[in-house]
Amino acid sequence: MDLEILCIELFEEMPTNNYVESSFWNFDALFQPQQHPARDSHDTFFLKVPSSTKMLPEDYVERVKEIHESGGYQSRGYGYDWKREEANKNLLRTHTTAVSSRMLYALAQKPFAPKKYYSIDRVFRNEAVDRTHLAEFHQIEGLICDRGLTLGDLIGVLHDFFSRLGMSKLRFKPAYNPYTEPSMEIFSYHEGFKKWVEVGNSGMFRPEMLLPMGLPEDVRVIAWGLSLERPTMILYGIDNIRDLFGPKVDLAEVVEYAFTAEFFEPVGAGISAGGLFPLPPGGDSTGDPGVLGELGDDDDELPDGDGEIIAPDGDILAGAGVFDSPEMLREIPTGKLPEKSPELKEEEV
Amino acid sequence: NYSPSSPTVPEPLPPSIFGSPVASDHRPPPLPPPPIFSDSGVTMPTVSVGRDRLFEALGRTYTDEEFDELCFQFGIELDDITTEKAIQRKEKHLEEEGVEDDGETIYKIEVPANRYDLLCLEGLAQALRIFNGLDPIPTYKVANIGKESMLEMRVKTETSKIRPYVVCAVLRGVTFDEAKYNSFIELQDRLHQNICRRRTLVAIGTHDLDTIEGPFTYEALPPAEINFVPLKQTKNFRADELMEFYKSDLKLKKFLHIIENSPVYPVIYDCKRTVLSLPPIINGAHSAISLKTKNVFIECTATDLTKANIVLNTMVTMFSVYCERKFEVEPVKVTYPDGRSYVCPDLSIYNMNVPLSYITGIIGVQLPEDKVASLLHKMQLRAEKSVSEDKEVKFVVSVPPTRSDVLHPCDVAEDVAIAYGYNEIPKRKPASLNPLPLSQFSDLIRTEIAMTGYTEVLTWILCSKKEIFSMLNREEDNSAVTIADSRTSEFEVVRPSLMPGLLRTVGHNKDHPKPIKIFEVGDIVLLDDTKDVGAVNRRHLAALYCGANSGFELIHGLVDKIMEATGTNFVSPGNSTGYYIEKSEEPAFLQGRQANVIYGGKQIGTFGIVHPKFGPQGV
Repeated sequence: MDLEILCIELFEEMPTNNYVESSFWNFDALFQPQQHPARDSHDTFFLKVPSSTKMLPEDYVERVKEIHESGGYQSRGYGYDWKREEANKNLLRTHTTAVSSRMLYALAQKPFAPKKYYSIDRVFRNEAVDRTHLAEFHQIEGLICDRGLTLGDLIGVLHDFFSRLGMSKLRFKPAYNPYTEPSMEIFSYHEGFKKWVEVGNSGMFRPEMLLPMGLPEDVRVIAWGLSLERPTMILYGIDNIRDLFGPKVDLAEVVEYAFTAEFFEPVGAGISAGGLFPLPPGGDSTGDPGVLGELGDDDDELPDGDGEIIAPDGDILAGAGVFDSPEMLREIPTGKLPEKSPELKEEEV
Repeated sequence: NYSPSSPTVPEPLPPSIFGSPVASDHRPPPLPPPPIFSDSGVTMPTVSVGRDRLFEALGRTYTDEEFDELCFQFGIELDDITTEKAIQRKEKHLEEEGVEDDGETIYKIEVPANRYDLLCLEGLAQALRIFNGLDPIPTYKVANIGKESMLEMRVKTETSKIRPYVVCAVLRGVTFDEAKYNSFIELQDRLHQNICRRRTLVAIGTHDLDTIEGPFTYEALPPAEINFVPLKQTKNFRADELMEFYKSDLKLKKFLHIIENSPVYPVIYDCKRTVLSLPPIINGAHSAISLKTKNVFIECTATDLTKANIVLNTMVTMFSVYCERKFEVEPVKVTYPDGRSYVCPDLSIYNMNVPLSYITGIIGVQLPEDKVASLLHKMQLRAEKSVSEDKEVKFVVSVPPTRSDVLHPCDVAEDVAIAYGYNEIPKRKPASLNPLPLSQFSDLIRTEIAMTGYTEVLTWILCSKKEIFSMLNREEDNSAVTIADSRTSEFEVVRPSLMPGLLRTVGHNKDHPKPIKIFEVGDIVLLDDTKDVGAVNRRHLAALYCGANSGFELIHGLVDKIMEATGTNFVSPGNSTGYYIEKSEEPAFLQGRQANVIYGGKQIGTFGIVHPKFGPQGV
């Protein structure tokens, strides 16, 4: 029966357009203790403006405090004094799982119905920028919420998901993560490197996270996440993340390389977010196809351009507009938008 | 530049890089940030152990590959294989000097951040031996000694102002050798680094019990009243002088802030006023342990009592294996000023009731009860079967003091899954998705613009104040989301506009042939008092044309193209059924060469020629 539901239902995209988040939804709601090292300013961008959150669901906050301090729902808890001030601190979300926690909480406020969610969006870590680290990157996340889900379901979903990225040989390693138990790191065998490469993380959300939200006891949530940049870099042999993403991308290479990628390795499209998922019937691509447009395939490092920028020899024109006003979305019948064939797009390159 | 995903449901993809060696001619890139959805970028603790000593403890040898595989199954990671000398060379930044014999091989093993019992060789070896079915689960016990012969720690009232808790224990008849001794010291270091949060939550002091005499007192005194010879020194220091002295000590200076500004410092004395330690900074030299130490007194001072107990339990359980009476620990009574007293350590077993169906339900494999019990045994958890009235099979799972990570029956279920083998679990099937209208719309817009010959870029959301204010000819104000404490100075604010990213991209591509035509569709963030967190995302589109001639009409044309594609009519000013343009006054654009886009009576966009004084020069 579960199987049927899973096959028929669609994954819904989660609204991730909220970079500013409270520590509460980013950490506390996920049963991540307040002394956890991830909550250091060394790892997370806390905000000066707006510095703290003004509103949290008070009765739920009380249950979260309780589960951290003294447990409940058959858990021993962490046994420490939970502080509201810590939970109020605003930050730039460190993972899109903050959105998942909001979504699951919202789901728990209604009579239970199974759900499948996904998101692809930006997350932030207070990292020094170098060849392999940026202070912001993209996270792909998926979760399924239903009664009676098992690790077998999670493994099945992961095989399905990663095979669409061209990663069909997977294996799983036990891992620790504050908000999932069991937790599994996902490894994929890389024929080029001749080794297993870690490509993502997954698990079942802990009862200490789900039950205070008010979800029924037999509801389980299987979830997985990965960064977009890491598999992309591996796929295209890029060894400097700044060649992939950000203002230092070489535009010449964007144009040249994307064409070759299209021409010789049509499978490359699969790594762009748009290719991660099967398309909904009658819909269009979902992710961010532009990401592929940014791939460079050069072993030479771009010069670090800081401080040596010269004005381009011409006028610069720029336009900007807001496109998410609800009126606008309503007024635009998406059906009216012209359908294009992929062939046409290639010619346009 | 643009690679659409195919409009039909894709066939099973042909093998890509993960399936075929297409990238074998590329040199493997160093791996980018750790995959997320894990411990928020915080690395797992790494334990360095001598390979030969580890194999001796495990009762067999492994090839590196075999050991790596064992780690993978158990859920730890063989992170690096190195040698003592190679580590030293690296620390001193010396070059590799050929292939000389570097001495003992060291395994660097990453362990889960909540398994404090795996932070030393003793614990690792024990866990793996039991996992391999070689050993029974040890039973730890507190020595049964009378109240009158029990050592006592008396806590003074003032400690509540700075570091209110202390727990203690004694290991009797320990036999150290150099390796064991080093392991003992290293475990303290690793606990300090991890669960103790760099000694802020808990600090461990270990002492040669034969050099001191109880009852002990835990006090908090003004720094000028504390005088002692600290570890590794020969001269007497006053506590305030000592803090000054350690400001130049690379290892200790980072702990000084914990007590530095307090009017009183925590200090532990014995009955003859010998200073045992000045927690959480340093121990006294007098009671220092050595290879000859037989009886070890351990004290853990703390601001978090739960963690103090975990730390003490980890220390005593791991090293009670070297005690004369194996796995036995001598208790200490701690008396607080209000008369309450506690005997520690608390090595009691925590019993957890877990139904068999709960375990098999999570794993998705039907396992017989005996099998589950034996799998749990491999993970150091004893399980007694009980059948309730309604015929439901339940286990009473004994969680030993070494497994503070087991909080809930879900942790028990995970251990069964690990022992069974994650990769033995048969997979089940599900799939497909439904994007948000906003994402769908953004993608349609992207496609449309890409078809007009613009290249999509993806720039950073974090930027400097200069980029969003002075570069755009705006007065600096508090209108942007501002970061409190960034490691990178250029990341000060969250972008309130897409323009800085585009301008910066042009700035970095000054050698690219003109014209440059780029665009970005992405979120900006604005302050918004109506939101719980006080800020809100908005989806924006920005496009930039950079060429030799002014080309105002080109960007105007793009605006018209986008509006047309979205089915919006061009109307005369004042008409709210479509869009029109009107003169604007954006400071970043040239006067008279800019316009607002108005739709439904609202300004929804702006375009113009970027003022030559601003823009990428100052990037």
